[in-house]
Amino acid sequence: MTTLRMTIDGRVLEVEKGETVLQAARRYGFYIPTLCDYAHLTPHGSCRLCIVEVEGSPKTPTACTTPVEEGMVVRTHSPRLQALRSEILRLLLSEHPVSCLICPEQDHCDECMITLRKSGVTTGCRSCSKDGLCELQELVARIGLDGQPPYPVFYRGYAVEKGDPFFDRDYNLCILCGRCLRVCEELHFATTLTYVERGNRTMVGTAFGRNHVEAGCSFCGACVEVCPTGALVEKYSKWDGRADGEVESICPLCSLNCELRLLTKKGRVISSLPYDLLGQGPLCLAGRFGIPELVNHPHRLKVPQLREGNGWRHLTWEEAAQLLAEKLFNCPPENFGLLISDSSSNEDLYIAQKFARVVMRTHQVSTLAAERYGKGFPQVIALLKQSVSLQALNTARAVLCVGLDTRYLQAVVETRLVQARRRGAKLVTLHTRPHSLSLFADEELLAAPGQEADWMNELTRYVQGKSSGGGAFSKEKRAALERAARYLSTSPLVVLIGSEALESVKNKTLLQAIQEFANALHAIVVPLPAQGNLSGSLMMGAFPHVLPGGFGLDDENQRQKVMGRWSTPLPAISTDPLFWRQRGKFRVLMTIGENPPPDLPDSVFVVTQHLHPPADRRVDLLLPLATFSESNASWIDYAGVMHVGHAAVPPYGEALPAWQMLCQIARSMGARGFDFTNAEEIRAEITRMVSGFWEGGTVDRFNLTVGSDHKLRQPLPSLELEYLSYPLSHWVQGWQWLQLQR
Amino acid sequence: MNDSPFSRFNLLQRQAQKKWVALQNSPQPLIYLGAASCGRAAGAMLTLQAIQETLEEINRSAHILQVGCIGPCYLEPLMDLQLPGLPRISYARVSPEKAKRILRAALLEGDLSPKLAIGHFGDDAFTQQSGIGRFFDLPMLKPQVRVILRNCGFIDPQDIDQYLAQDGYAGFIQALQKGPLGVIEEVKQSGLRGRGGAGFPTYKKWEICRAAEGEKKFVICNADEGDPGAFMNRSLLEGDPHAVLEGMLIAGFAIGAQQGFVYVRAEYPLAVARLRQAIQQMRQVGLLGEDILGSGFSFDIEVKEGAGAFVCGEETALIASLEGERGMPRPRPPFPAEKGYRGYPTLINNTETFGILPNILRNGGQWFSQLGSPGNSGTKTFSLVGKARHTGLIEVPLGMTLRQIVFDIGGGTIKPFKAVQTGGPLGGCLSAAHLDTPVDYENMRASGSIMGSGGLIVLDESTCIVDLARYFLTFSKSESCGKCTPCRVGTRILVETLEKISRGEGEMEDLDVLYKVADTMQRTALCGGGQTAPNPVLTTLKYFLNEYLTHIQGRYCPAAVCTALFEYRIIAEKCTGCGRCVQVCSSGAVHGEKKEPHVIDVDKCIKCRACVEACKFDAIVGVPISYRQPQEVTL
Repeated sequence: MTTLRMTIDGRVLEVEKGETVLQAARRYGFYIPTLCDYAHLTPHGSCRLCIVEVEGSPKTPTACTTPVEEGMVVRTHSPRLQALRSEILRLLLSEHPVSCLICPEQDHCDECMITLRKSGVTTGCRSCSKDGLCELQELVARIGLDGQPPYPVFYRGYAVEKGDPFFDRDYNLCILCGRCLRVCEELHFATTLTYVERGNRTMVGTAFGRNHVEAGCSFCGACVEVCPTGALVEKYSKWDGRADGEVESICPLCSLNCELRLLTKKGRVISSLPYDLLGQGPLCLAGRFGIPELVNHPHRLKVPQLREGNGWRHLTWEEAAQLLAEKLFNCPPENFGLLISDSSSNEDLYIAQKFARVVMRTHQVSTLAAERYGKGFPQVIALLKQSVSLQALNTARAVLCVGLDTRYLQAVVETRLVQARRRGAKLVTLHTRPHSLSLFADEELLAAPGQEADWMNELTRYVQGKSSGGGAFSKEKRAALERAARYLSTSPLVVLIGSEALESVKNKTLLQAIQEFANALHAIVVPLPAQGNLSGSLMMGAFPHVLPGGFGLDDENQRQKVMGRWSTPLPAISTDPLFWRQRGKFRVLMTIGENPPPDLPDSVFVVTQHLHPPADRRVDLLLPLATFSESNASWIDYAGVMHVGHAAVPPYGEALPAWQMLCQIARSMGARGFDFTNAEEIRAEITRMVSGFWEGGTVDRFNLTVGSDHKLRQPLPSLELEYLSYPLSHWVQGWQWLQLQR
Repeated sequence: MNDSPFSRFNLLQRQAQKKWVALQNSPQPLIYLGAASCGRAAGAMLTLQAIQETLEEINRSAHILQVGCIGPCYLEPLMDLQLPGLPRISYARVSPEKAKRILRAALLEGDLSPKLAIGHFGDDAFTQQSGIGRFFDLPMLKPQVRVILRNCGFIDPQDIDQYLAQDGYAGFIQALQKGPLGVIEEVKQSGLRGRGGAGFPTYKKWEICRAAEGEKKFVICNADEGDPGAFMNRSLLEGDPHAVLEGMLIAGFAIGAQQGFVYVRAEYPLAVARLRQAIQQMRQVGLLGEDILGSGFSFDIEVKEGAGAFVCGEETALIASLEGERGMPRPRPPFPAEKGYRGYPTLINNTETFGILPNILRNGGQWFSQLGSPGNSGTKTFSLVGKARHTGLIEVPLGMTLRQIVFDIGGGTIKPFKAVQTGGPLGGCLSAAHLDTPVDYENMRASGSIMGSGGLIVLDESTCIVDLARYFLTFSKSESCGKCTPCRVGTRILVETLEKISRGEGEMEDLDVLYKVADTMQRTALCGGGQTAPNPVLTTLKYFLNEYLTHIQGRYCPAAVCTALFEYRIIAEKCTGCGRCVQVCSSGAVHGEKKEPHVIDVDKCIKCRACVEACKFDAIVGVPISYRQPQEVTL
C-alpha cells in the first residue's frame, strides 16, 4: 500500500493510493454532500453533488470518482461549489415533487396534521412517507437553494406500482441515483433493475416492462434499504416514519437463522433489516418483509381464552393455569400429548420436553419434524450431524444442489452460489422441475418426481467410472450425467440439500444415495431444512425417543445424567415413537406454536398456545404466545451454530413465552425444578446436562451430537399431509400471492 | 522462394495492379456511378437500372463501377463515363432519362454531350479539345485537398484488389517494417490529433495504451456518427472501407492488440454491409486473422452495430454498449486506454483517424505534418450542409477559414448568410464575425464552439436563432442517457425555457435561467456530451443576443419561424396578383382580385408557410403581430 500526501481544505493528509478523494475526505472527517454514493458500491458519479475543486484544474471533478494523487490540493467547499451544488439540487428538485420543502404549512404539519395523509405519495405534500427520512430533503436543508425557488416540477406521472405485497414503487419520486440497481447487481448479483428509456424519460425499472416476479426479483429488499427518497418504500412500515429502537436478533423462519436487526417504534416491530447489508448480504423476502407481518398478525391473542359454547371467555393467566393444572392433574400419562413447533427456541423446547417427562411422566412430546420427514428422518439427522457452515462455498470448486430452490426463500444461498460461480466453481443441480438455480447452473439434471435417488446413484457410478451405461437413462440423460460427473470430480466439493429433497416422498433412498455419493467423493454435505430449529429440537430432546443432548432414549449414560439433574426417574420407554399415532388415546392435547389437527374427537381437551386458530380447528383453551421478537432465546442453525435473539419489544398483550407458561403450570401442579425466571437460567441447566452447550454466552460453533439413529426409525407415512406445508403460509398473506404467481 | 510478409504482399499487390491496369485499358467503356447512400437517396439505383437497360437496348457492354461518394452531394446522382482512350467525364444530376440520353449519344454517336458534363479527370489538353472543364477545377473542389477521401469515388469499395492497386495496405507493410515503436514515432511526427472532435494527440493515446498492462488489448473504431447533418464517417466507410480497416491494423500492431471492433450505427446499413464484405475479403487474402502474411502478428476485426443512441458516440458509453450493457458513460479516470473494454486496455479512435493512418505510414509523418497549420496538421473532412449552395462532403487542410469553406467551397447562401453551426448539436453557432476564424481545434474552442466530428451547417436569414437552439437542445434532451443530473434535467429546463421564449412568453429572467443552467451543465456534467450540450445556447446568446431580445421584448421573430411571434402580410408593392398564394392556401386566408395586390386574413392564417414558398416575388413577409381590438361576438 503506497501512501501519498495530499491537501484537503488546507490540511495535509496521508492517503492511500487507489482511494478516491471522497473516501480519503470521509476518513478524515470532511463532509462532502453525496446522493448516489453508497458505501461499498462502485462509484457511479450520477448525482454530481460531490464536486470539488482541484488546484490546477479548471474543472470541478466529482470526489467519488477522482482517485487521489500525490500533491493534490482539494477544496471541498467554496462559494463557487456552493452555488453549483445549490443549482444541481434545484435541478434535481425539478423532477421531484417538492411540496415538502415549500409548503407554507410545513412547520405546523407534524403537530396539527392538517394535510391529508397518503395523498402525499402522488402530490408530494408534506406527508410523503419518507418525510424526515429523505436524504434529498436533508441535503436541501444542509446546502440550501441559494435563496432561489426551485424550478417548476416536471411531474412524470407514473402510476405508483403496488403490484406486489412487499414494497411500493413510486418512481415519480425517483432521483435516478442508481443505488437500487447497483445494489441489485453488485450485492445480489441480480439484474432485476435497470435504467429504462432515455433522455428526461429515463427511469429505473425492469427490462421490457415486465413485473418484478417475471424479471427475476427475489424481493430481498436491498433496493428499498438503500433508496434515499420515498421512491421505494416497504409497504408495512410505509407510514411509520423513523424507528425509535433497533435490536439485533435472528430470523427463526428457516434453518439458516440469518442475523438481522429489528426496528421498533412505540413498542412494536415495524421492520426487519439485514444485520449488515453490505457485509453479510441481504435477507430473503421472508426475513426482510415477513417478520413485521408475522409478529403483528391480527390473529394474535392478547389474553388466555376459554371456549364456552360458541363464544370465548377471557381468563387471567392465574385462572387459565389453575384450570389447566386441574385438567392435567387428572390426566393419566399415556393420555397426554404435547406438540411443539420445530421453529421454537431451545429454551421452549427444553422446558416442553422436561414438562412432559417430569410433570406428565410421559415421553409423548414431539415436533412435527418426524412426521414431515417420515422414513427419511434418520438420514436427515445423520446429514445434520455432518453439516458445516455455508462458508464452505467460499473455497468449493464444485457445488451440487439437490432439491434446492432459492427463488424466494433461502434466496441468500443463491447469492453465495453466484459468488462461488464467479470465482470459477461449477454448479450442478438435481431437481424435479426447472427452478431458479437452473438459470445459471453449469449442468441441470432434471429427474422425474420420485426418481431423484436413481439419478443420484447413477451420478455416483459415473463419478466412480463404474457406470453400466444402460438402464433407464436415455442417451441425452447419460450425456448430462457424464458432464455433471466431470464437473463434480473435483475437490473441495459441496453438496447442498434443499428442503424439497429432505422432505420428498422417497427421501430415505434419496438421502442414502446422497450420503453414498458424498462418501465416494469426500464431499462436504450441507442440508438446509425449512424448520427454524430442527437441530435445536433434536438437541433439546423434544422427541419421544430423544433425550436432552440429542441422545437416544436408551442411552443409559445420558439417562442417568438426566435423571441425576432432574432428581426424578424417567418414565418407561414408550412403545411408539411416532407421536401422532397416539392421538386416539389423548385426553389432553397441548400444542405450542402449532395448530391442532382438524379431526380430533370431542373428548380431547385441546390447549393451544399460538394464534387464533382457523375455523375448522376445535380448541378448548387458547393461550397467547410471545414471539421470538418478544423474548430472549437461542436457536441452533443447519450447521449446529448457536444464534441468540434478543427481545426487541415487550410481549403483545399478556402473551408469554412457552417456557414461562409451562413453568407456571408446572408450579401450580406442585412440580419442582421449574423455578426459572429468565432464559439464562434455563441455558445454565441445559449446559449442566449437555456439555459445551453454552460457552460464556457467546455465539459459538457447536458440535451437534445426536444419539444412535436406529432408535428413530420405524415411522409410518404421515397422514397429516396438511402439516407438510410451510408454517409461514398461515401467516404471511404475501406468501399466498407469491404462490399464485408461480 | 522468399516467403517474408513483404514478398507475399508484393505478390498480392502486383496481381491487383495488373487487374487494375487491365480494367483501365479495357476496350469497353467504364461507367462510374456514385452509389453511396447520398447517391442512392438521389436516385442512383434508378439510374443504374436505366444504364443497364440502355446498354442492353443498344447492345453494348460496359464495366459499371459502383463507387463511393466523391463529394458534391448537391450534384447527385453522379454518373461518370470513361470511354476507351479518353479521360473520365462526370455528369451531374443524372436522372434515368438523362443517363439514357448521355449513353446513347456517347456510345452510338461518340458525342460526349459537353453541355451536360460538369468536368473531366484528364489534362488541360482535353479541356481545350472537348470544351469540358476539369472536374477538380470546379469551385467546390478546387480548394480541397484529398487525402482521406483519395479513393472515394475512384475505386469500387467492394473489391479489395482495387484498393490494393491504389497502394492499399502498403501503409500496414510500412508499419510492419518500422515496428510498433517506429509507428508511434511516425504518428508523433505527423502531429495527428483525434478526429472525433476533442483533438487529443493520437500518438499520446497510443503510448498510454501500449504502456498499459493487460493480457489482451483492443482497438475500437468509433463509427457511431450520430450528429444530425454529419455523414463523413458514413461516406468514408461506404466509399473506402479498407482504408479504415488498414488503419485499425496499423493501430493494433502499434499497441499490441489482438482484436478490433468497428462500432457502427445500425442506421448505416450500406456501411455495415461494405465493412462486413471488406473484412471477409481481408481474411481471404490473409490480411486478417492469425499470423497476418506470416508476420507473426495476429489481429481480427468484428463489426458491431449500435442501436441508435447518440450518447454511444461517447467512448465510455460506446464501450459499455459493446459489452452488452446499457450505453451510459462511465466516470473517467480510468481512461479506456488503461481500462476499457471488459477492463482491458482499449484504444478507441474515430473512423477518420483510422482512415488517415495508412496515408501517414505510406507517405511519412513529415509529409502529413506539412499539411494544415502548425499544431493542427493534416486535412479534415466536413459535411457541408444547410443553406449553402454547394452541399456535400469536403476535405480541407486544417486552418482554412470558415469564409473559404462557406463561400468558396460552399458557394455562399442564396438569402443573406446568418450563421454557421459547427460540431453538430454539441457545437456552437458562429456568426458572420467569425468567418475569418481558421477552422482548427483551438480557434473553434476559443469561439465557444467545438471542432466536433465535422458537421458544418450553414444558416441564412430564414433561420430563427432561438428556434435553432431549441432544435439542438431538444435533440440533446431526448438523446441524453439520463444518468447525471445536470444533463438529464438541465437539457430539459433549457428546452422548456427556449420553448417559452419562442411561444412569446419569454421574460428577461429566462435569460438568467439559460445562463445559469448552461453554466452548471458545462461545469458539472459527467461526460463530454453533457458538458458541451449547452453550447448552442451559449454561443447563440453570445453572438445573437439581439435576436433573443427581439423575441422577449419585441415579441417578434424576425426570421418568421416562431409562429406565435409574427404574422404574414403581403407587401402590396411587390405583389403582382398572380394568385399562386390563393391556390396553395389551405385555410382560405388569402384574398384578392386578379392582378391586384392580395391581402392575408391573419385570423384565418395558420402560418403554414405554403404561400411564402409559392410566392416568386418575395412579397409575403413576417411582421410583428399588430394588436387588434377584439371583435365583438354575437351569439
